[in-house]
Amino acid sequence: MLNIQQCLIPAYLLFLLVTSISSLDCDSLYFYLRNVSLDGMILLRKMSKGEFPLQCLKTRMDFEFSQELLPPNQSLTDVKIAIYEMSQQIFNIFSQNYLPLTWEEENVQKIQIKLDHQSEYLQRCLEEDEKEKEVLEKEDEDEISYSGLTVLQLNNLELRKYFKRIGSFLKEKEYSHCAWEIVRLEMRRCFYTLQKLISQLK
Amino acid sequence: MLSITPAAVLVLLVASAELSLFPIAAGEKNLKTPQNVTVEIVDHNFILKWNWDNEPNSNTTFSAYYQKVKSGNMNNWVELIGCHKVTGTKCDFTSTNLNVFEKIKVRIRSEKGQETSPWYDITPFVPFQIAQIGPPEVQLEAEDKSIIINISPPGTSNSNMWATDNQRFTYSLVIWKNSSSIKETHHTVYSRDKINDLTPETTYCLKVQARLPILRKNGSYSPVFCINTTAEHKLPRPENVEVDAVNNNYVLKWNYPYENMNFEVQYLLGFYKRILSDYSDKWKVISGCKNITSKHCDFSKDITTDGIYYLRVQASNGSITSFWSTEKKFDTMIKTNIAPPSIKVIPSGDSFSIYISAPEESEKKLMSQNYPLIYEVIYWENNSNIENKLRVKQKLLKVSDLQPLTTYCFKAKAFLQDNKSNKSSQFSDVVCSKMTPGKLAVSWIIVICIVCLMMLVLVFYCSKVLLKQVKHIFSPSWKPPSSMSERFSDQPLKNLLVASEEQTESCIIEETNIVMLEETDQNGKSDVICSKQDNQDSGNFSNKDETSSSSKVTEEALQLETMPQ
Repeated sequence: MLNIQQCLIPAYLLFLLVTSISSLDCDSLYFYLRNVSLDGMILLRKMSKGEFPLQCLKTRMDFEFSQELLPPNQSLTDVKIAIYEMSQQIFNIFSQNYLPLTWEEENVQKIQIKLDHQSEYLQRCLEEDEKEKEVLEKEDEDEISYSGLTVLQLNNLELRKYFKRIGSFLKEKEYSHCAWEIVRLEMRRCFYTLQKLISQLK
Repeated sequence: MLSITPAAVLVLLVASAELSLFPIAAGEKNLKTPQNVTVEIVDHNFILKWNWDNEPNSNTTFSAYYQKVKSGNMNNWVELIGCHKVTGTKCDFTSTNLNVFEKIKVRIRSEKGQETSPWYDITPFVPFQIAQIGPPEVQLEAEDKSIIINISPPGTSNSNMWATDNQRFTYSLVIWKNSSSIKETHHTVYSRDKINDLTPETTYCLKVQARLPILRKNGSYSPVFCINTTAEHKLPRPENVEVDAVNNNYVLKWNYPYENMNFEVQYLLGFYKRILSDYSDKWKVISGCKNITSKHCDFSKDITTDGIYYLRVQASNGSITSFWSTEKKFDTMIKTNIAPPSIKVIPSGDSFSIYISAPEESEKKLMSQNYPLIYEVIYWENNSNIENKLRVKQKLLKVSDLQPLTTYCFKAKAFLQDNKSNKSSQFSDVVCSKMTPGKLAVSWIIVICIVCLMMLVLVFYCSKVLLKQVKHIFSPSWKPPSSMSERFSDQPLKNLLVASEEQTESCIIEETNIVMLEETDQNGKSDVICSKQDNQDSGNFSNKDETSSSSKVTEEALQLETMPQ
């Protein structure tokens, strides 16, 4: 718990320092997304009063998060797809029906609003990229390079597997309060990763 | 060489594919391997299909197995549930319950009694990657001039293929009047949506397709559904619903044909449209927009978080209520209007400093912090029409290279740094300012002073050099002539010749000593050295060679020795 907070401090600082704007629609995507993760982390903390409940330590679970979940040769499109995938998956988790009653609904909603917003932009921009790509491909049909796509999908698969593990865990623990608290911690990690990915859009 | 390599690869590929065709075990006689085996996954239905040329024979069955492909460890071949000892040319293995994100290998063979054919191996695949989107289910409901559509995502509710993708399906809808062939396509339709502006009491037909654009997956179309629109409601719904967003003030505006009506505005958090559950009870009334008579309403206070919202408005005359208007999608980040910035111009020297204040910067929410704005500054000479344009990101800039003592006018406007929409604010007020001569003169004086000072330094330096030259001509330095330097290649001697002034000084002291010595009646031994140095001082010495000088020294010494006597 403490460790995570320590890790986050530089992120906060970095965040405060970044004021310059790179050029949406999709050119200034970073500008539109820059606050989402940080807000997400703050909201996660506010969601449940007090610290992590100690009685939930027993339920601890390793979801095997690793950097390998993310695209290795991070092209800008890879990064955008990874952000899209993560935001969607986190959104899915908070959109389940059995959220603990102790969590403040308002904060959960805010997270949903932000992630939905983010997904919308990414979807729009990715579709735009796709269109541009199609135009380029039409221009020189001889050079078809679809290899990128398969790599992307494989990377997303790792991320999907990771979120599937989280989903299965919740189900297995019958959406107990402790299970949710564990997942909440894990989501902070996700937001942190998301933030790192977003900063790559600068 | 280049042509051989692909050929070799091809041979290898063929060999590996053909290998399984040859019988290996002794028991296998002529039983053929199933051909053209394919996996077809639609939503969460897994089908294995193959070709079998031989006559249908109830004795021949087929069995398929799968293996998880994981890096590092080899897994066992496991029976593909639903594909064990089947008699047809296809089988459904949905009940195997695979992890759709895990790569698997599948193989199949034919069996007849004890006889078995060689395996046919399918290229390893990830179910999710090859899965196709099936047709969605559609429910329709007519409402005045609209059709309410309710789309159930492809696959059953307990299927896990699209479990995490259900919320990101985008639906494309093709709609046409039954009597016409003109088809209209709507590309982004949500699972619960409305098709508006249709003709009342008309039969419309439509079909829907689910898509996952990011994954480049386009599903198949649903069957065609038709519905009759109903008769027009007595009270029309409000039309032309628009959001007027100036900075952080959001105002919803609409048109309505009748006066003295009451309106109610509601909003919905955008994300509910992504969630499958029914959101009809999630609409909320905007606090200040209930039972209002005006055709506009400020809803800024209810929107606290940046995001996507939907707004709708309804008219009522007390007894009858209209249907809800078209739902207006509103994104707080994408503004419709930007307020003009304000500018301050300060002349400084031969340039102007321009300070731009972002629109409504005084408000608690800083516009410029929320949006990437760029500014266009236009300036011109007061009595001229030639405009100069500058586009800047920063809010402080300098305009230089201007005519002195001339009045210039400035104005600026803000743009969203979003080159596609090209939205801009109105221009700011025009600000005119004259180039101040005082400051100009001061700067010139400073420049002249600096130039003068530099000139002075130059003159001083030059005169010093000149003086040195003159001095050199009239009293040259103690450098011996070249002819002499050649002879006195011996360093110590040379040093002796080119004597320093210190030696001269010591000489003077010695001379006084001599005087004292003379007084005390001593001989002039030291005097000899002194006179030698005296010669040096005179400068005449240098023209004589060593022998002559030494001889002269002796002569003089002799003279000195004899003089007191």
